[in-house]
Amino acid sequence: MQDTATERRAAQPRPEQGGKMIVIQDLHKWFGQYEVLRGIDLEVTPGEVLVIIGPSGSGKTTLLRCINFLEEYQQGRIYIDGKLMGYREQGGRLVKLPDREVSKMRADVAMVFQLFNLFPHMTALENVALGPMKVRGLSKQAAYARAREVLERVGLADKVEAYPSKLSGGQQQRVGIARALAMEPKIILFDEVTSALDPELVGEVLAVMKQLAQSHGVTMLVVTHEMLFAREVADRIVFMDGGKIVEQGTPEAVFTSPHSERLRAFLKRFFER
Amino acid sequence: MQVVLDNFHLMLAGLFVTIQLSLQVILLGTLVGIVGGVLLLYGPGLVRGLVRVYVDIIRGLPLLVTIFIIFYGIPAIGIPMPKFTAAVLALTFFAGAHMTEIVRGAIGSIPRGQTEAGMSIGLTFLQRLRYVIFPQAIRRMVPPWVNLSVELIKGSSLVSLVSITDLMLSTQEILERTAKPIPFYITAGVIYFILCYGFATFGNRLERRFAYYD
Repeated sequence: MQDTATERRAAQPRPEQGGKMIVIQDLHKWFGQYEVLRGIDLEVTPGEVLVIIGPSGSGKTTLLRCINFLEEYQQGRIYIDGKLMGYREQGGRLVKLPDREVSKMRADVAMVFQLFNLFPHMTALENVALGPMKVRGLSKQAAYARAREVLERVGLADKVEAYPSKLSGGQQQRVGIARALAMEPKIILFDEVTSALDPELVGEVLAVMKQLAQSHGVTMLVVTHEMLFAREVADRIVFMDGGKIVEQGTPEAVFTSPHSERLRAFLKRFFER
Repeated sequence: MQVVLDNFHLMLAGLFVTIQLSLQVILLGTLVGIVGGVLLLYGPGLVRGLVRVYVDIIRGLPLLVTIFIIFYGIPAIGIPMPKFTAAVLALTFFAGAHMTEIVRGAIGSIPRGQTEAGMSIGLTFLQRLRYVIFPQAIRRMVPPWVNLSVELIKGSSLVSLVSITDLMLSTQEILERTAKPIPFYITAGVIYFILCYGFATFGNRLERRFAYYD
């Protein structure tokens, strides 16, 4: 199918985005009558580690899920590396892209889930190799080799043949991270990835994420309640409440001198524990 | 006993028809069910509605009624069809409706997180079905599928009422001639039992083969 000139132009990185990896403009999302995202504007530079914090119900997970189009959005724009996500512009309106196209974009925006969502009928190795094989088109050998490499990187070289049911939560989550990494994505989204873990297992997962963040390659968006981790690892912190971005800044700025009352209340509740 | 042995070859001929009928219906019914189940879950609204109507109507009718409707209805609207084909059609209608529900239930019971994980690594809809959803769903389908198949083997005996010479009818023809119902009905029962129990055993082995560590 031939793209029209308009579509080709729309597919190029737009000049006003200035090489940003993610550009979100006036994003609104409704679940039925309930508006969960009320006008989000956000830009993420390539390689940036952005941590999103906020009370539950603030929309942070929904925002993440809009970025890889697990949730549709009704108003506004999300650009991933210059390309509009999930839709095509037609006379100022959003027209949903076919599954094929969305899948192609999703390959570059990997996600790690709170409940791991590993494929239970596959070993760790197979879980990690599936994407590279079927989406990136690697041969079985090459895909398995890459999978081994990535699993080693997250410290699970000895568990490659294990099924998820035989792994601890921390190990499963590390397989989840490996599965995302194996796709060599531009962006990795982390959706409260340690919230479902027993406390003693949280550390091993955060260690892997810290390593990733410090290698300055992939852009990372992390929704988390782990404030110490956020403070240590983030390039920028974004505080969300009630479907809006209330405040953002460097960890130092946000944690030591929060401007907004709501952020101060939120942090107070947190550090009072 | 001797009279049974004398007429056994006739029962075997009927058995052959029963087996043929059952196998064809199980196969076709499974195919219809897979298509129906996927359409019911993922198809456009109109298609989903049509499948729903089909399933609900057939599941609300006794198998015998479905057999009669197809068997007498098809020639009534002017389509010539051999008896055996009409029987296969009727039973497949029945099997397909039940199989559609089995498939729908199995696929629907896979947590949404699995679909989302598949999406997150860029798998297309068909890839997700093939590599993530179906392998997990199939394991959940085997027990009800075995049940349905055994019901079909037993239900196939109803075609004796539209004069198809399956095991049931051939048995009845013999005992009408020899006036000795008990030994023949018992023999027929034993044969049906062997068929059904054999199939269920095969089903168990199938279940084990599809099991993954859970």
